[in-house]
Amino acid sequence: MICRPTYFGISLAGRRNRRWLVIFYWLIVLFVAAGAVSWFRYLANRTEYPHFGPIPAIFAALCAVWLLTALGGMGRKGPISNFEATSPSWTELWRAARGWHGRKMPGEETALDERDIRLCNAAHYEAYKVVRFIALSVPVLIVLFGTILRKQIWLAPSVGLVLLLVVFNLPQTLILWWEPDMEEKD
Amino acid sequence: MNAEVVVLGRRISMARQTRRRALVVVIYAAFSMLLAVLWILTGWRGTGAWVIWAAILACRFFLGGYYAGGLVKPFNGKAPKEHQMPPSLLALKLRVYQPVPAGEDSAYRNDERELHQRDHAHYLAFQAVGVAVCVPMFIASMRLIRPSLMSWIPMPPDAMYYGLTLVTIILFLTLPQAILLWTEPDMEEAQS
Repeated sequence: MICRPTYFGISLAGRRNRRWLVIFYWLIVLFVAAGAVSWFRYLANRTEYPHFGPIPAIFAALCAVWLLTALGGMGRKGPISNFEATSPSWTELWRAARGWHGRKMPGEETALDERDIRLCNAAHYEAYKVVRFIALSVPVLIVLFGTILRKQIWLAPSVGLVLLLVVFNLPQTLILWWEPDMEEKD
Repeated sequence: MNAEVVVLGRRISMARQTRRRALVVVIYAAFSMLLAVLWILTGWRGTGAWVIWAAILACRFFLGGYYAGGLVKPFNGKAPKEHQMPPSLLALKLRVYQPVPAGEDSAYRNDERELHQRDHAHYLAFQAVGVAVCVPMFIASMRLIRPSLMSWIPMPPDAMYYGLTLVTIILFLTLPQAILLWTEPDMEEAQS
């Protein structure tokens, strides 16, 4: 399931390192969410589009997209194998066509085995329970703080962004957190 | 998965996949109608919670999963609470009670195959729910970034967010069970 030995120079063989990576990732999410809150607040308080154009919005969107795929699972980067990986990537095929595939054939590294599929499904089940609890608490929050939320419209996309990152990255987080220590390859 | 559902005291066989698929379609059509009617009558002001209650009742009587009762066994594998008191007179009159045979673990405990199916259904539901969360987030962002693009929507933004939130909550409550009911093959064929 964990398809890389290191990530940004951090060894992923040890569970402790992986847990630090998870904590660091969610701190970045909080940092980006705080940036998004201030950006959307700025947009909500100005009637016209800001004179420096859409660059901050594009930057925020790129950060969000990077964070969505940073832990893997979706796409082919990140420490977790692609959940949908059933075929080799274009890069693998291109490398294989040039004979650069080394000892492993295309698709050998990315395809999930039986244990990985079970772990992936179990992680999604556990994550679903957490996200379902959050979803059920939303109407309660709307009832309690509806009048405040109606005035602070900039909160809606910011909360949506955090929810999006939670939905798409909680299973990967759980896998990184759960997986036991692995043997380091020489 | 249970092979029959009790509606007003009548046992209806749900062993056929087509029947279960029809039930799923009817349930989601009912939710759509309820949302539309409540929007027309009240604009979901003070009535949005009814939709959530309707989803919980649909799980309780038809879908199961996160609630005891219904076709899908409880996901947590726990036995339903045993009440010392007999069913209430209203439940008896409406014939909505569902007696659970004592000592039958298979009525609520999932075996290995069912646990695997449960987890896979949640994996599939997670993808759909992720998209359902994307839509309100995208609309809320566009409303702030380019308000002129959102002016064509004939609905106040607050009501739109609320409606999308209700749809997302319905999906959260019902989608894994609906996927299980939709994908499970005919039970007679599985037994033969």
